[in-house]
Amino acid sequence: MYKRGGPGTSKRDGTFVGESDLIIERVRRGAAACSQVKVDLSSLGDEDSLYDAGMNSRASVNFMLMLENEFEVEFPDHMLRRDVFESVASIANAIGTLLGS
Amino acid sequence: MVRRDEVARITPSPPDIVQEVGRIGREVARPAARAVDAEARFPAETMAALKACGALGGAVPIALGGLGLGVAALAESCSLLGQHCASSAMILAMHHIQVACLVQQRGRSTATDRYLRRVASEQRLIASVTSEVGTGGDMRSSVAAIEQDGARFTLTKQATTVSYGCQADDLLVTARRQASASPHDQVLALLLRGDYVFTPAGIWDSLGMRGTCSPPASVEGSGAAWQIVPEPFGDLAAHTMVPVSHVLWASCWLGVATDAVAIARGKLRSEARAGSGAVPPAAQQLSATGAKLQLLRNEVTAAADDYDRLLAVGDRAELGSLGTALRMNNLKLSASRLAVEIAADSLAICGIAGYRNDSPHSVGRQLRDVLSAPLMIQNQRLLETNASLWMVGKWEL
Repeated sequence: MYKRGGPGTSKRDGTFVGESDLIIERVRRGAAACSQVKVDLSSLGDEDSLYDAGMNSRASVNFMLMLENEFEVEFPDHMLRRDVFESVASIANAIGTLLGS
Repeated sequence: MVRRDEVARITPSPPDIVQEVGRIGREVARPAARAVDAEARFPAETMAALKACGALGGAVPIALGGLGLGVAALAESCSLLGQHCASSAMILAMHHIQVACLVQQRGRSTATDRYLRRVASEQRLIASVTSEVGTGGDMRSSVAAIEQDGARFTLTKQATTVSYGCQADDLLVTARRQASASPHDQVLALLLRGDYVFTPAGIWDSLGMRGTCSPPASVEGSGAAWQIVPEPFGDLAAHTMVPVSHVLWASCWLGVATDAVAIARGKLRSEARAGSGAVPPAAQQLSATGAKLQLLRNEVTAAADDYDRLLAVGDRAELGSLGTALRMNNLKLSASRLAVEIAADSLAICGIAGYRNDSPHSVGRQLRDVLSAPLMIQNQRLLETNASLWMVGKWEL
């Protein structure tokens, strides 16, 4: 399970937003902006399979490229695997690792 | 035909079995190949001989009564058979691919283990029903869905092509997990003979690979819960079905290409002998084609060995990695291109004798058979996929 929360910042309204929540939100926004990802993430939970929802391997690669740009990270070869791009949570987890959070 | 109860026999041990498949190729498949092609009929005598030596249990683990062959040994046997009858080789390859998918479920389901025992002991032939009307050729998308009906499920599917569906014992069918699932949320369901009705919806009158008997068909069947493969089909396709398909298909094409070069060599040798030992001018072309054949063979064996190595260390994540996908897509692209080139070269070397159907140096069947290679999963589609992979991969060049 991917844990939301973690170290983070308090928003102006007083609610606490963890860093991993922020990553998840950015991943979700990225997917919405990536024209190749024809999956409606708003109807999916963090752990739901993107592949089952219709993302093919080619779209997952396009999504990866976009996220590399968005987060200024590079997914190393050992992370270029199906299971890493299985869900919003697994992607956020990988990005969190790369960002060192 | 070999009767089921006669199948308990002395099974050759690997790698004897690989040589035995080669012998069946020479002695059974080759004499029948012309008729199989001309009549577009199932190579029944070859399949019976393969069953009699236990070859259909090739991919079943030894612990379950099979021969426990790795992909490299399966590939070699397909290649040896493909030197004599491409359709027989492709049927054997497709069967092994289905078995390999089920073997990957070991440890998840004892019922599947029991079924694999039956595959080995009864030499059951499994056909694949992955194509479907309305999916645009995308294997990773289904219209048909599993319908739960009490303790059992039912399944109805209209396939665009099913190879040897009429002759198979059992079917492995892709379908959506349930009626409410998305087209991509797929599972693989095993349908056992007696539990399904298979109805061809046309004939198979093709340019080549005519003995695979692959018409459009409808399938209507039911099964018990265990017959739905637990692993999501997407994962299974990535780590087993697609890479094993690429390796075994390429092995079949390697066999056909080898056959074509052997015919060309035979033609030139008889010319050389008739010409008092002078080397015919076309022999230079033969040497260039021989070099291509060597490239093809090395690519196929290297890919098979790579896959076996990853399987041996149990690295499923690596098997399903984009790097492995790229590597196997490259194998398919290279092998299909080279095999067609080699067969066309062989025709050019043989000249009119190769073009004639009634000549001992005819390469018409080999060329027609191997022209299917770039079409079995369109090469253009693989190039598009690989193009994306190149943008994101960091592997060393």
